[in-house]
Amino acid sequence: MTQGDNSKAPRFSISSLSLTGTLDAKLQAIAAAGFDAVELGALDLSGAKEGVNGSVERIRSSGLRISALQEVRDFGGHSGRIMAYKIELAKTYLQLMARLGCRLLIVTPATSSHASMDIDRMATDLRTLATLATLRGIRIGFKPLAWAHDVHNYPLAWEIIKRAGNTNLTLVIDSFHLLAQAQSPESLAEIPVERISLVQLSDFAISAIPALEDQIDIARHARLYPGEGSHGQSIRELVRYCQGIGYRGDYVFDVFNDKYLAQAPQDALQHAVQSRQWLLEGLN
Amino acid sequence: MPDTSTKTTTDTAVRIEGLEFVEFAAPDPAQLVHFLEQLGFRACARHRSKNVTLYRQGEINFIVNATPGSFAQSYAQQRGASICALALRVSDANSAYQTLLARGAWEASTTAGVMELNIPALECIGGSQIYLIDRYGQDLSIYDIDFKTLPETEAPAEHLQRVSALTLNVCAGRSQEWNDFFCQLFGFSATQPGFVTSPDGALQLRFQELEGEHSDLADEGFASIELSAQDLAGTQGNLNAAGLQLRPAGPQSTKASKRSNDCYVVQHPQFDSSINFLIGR
Repeated sequence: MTQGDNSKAPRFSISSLSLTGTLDAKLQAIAAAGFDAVELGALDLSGAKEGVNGSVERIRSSGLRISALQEVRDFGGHSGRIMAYKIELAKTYLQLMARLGCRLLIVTPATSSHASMDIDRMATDLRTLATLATLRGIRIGFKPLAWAHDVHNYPLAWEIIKRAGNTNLTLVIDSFHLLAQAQSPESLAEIPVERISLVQLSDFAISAIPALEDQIDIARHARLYPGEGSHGQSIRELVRYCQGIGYRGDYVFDVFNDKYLAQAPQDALQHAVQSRQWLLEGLN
Repeated sequence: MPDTSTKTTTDTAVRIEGLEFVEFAAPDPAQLVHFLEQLGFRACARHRSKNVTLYRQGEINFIVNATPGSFAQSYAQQRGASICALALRVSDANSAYQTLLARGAWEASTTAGVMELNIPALECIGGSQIYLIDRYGQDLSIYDIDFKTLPETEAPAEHLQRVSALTLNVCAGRSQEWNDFFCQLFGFSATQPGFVTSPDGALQLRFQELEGEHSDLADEGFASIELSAQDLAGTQGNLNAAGLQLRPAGPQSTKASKRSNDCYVVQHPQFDSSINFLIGR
């Protein structure tokens, strides 16, 4: 059963990095589970035996829409040499994405502590990346990280986006980074819906605010499908908020969990299917 | 805490100083050339080794590139007669090139340019190119070195003076992105909604959103070029005499003039062409 009869119903997608196995197996299982879109990781492009061309072919023939490519990490505020390297990397991704018809590239900020981040420099760097992506028909989706030294929440991220002043630069909402800091959708209130390009959803077990090191660990190994952890109702509230402001993009399950990665994709996907159903019920 | 409500970060990467030439390609260059001659353009110089010709009228420079196997020719195979490149004036081409690359521009994918000189080229909309030219002005020209002046069999007409505007087809929802591209890289400014204007105020770019099944990235590109005429009525008469019909452009005119008799569309070329020519004030 696929969603999508009602154009206002949320469209769900899933990160291929939430699953284990060959790219082919994952894509088939995702489609069989009733998802019509997938979020790819850089490894999906380079990991196949046949290399990048093989991956491109597989992805195109799966028939799945691609929500986004995740990600260019540790971006912004670096020296000229490192920035030049990041731009070259971004160009490689952008060219691959153009072949795949993937229109959103996710970017995350530096996490290590700089003496003091120059917010204007960060904005300029993001503006450069947004300009670069414009020619390839691709948008940039910037996402703060709860453990980033400087850009760790949505109001800060939005401030930088505004300063960059380039329409091709948007925000990616990841429920994990909101909930890990016990923030509600209110912290998104300043952000116009047309600047939100993607919403990523995941739950986790701890109900209190985790310490920073624990946040990183949970984010990488112990995320859960919405409804399986302590924050299900908050995630339902986030989805209601996004629907309410008119967001019509994808909701992506970004669930990186060691236990689920030990299961066959079809089995791990059962959790995703149940969670999808549970979220839809929460909207009625 | 500074007021950040509307402040955006740095200025434009480069401030262009004008338009040097527009480069055309066509599957059948002779048909395009005949059309340009009907408009009053005349061949003034030819490249020493390539099939590249400079046509002039007023201050307008049109390059027609018919070199087999060139970037221009393959562009024309896909798009019919089309604008495949713009040459923009800057004060220091190599420095501008490096700055633009550092600010998010892409190198042109092929380096085969119209000149032998090492002219930096960037990628522009729909696979077209932008050349950066710093050799221009009273005593300088890029045509000196690589072009031979043609004996003037006939001087160009004097109907048309300048390129005043270009219309670009963009995918639905991408007008503002293209607006930002030209403003943030080349110094255009968004003076009115839907237009951007070059720093010297002489050239307007208008963005026209494609609709429906034609709204594919591959369909983005130059859609029309507007040329200015001092004596619009006289020019209309001259062009009619040369065999070209014109009709009022109406609200689609690129300069958004309120009076529909301020701008005319030249009849669409009878050969395969993805661009229209407009004549305005």
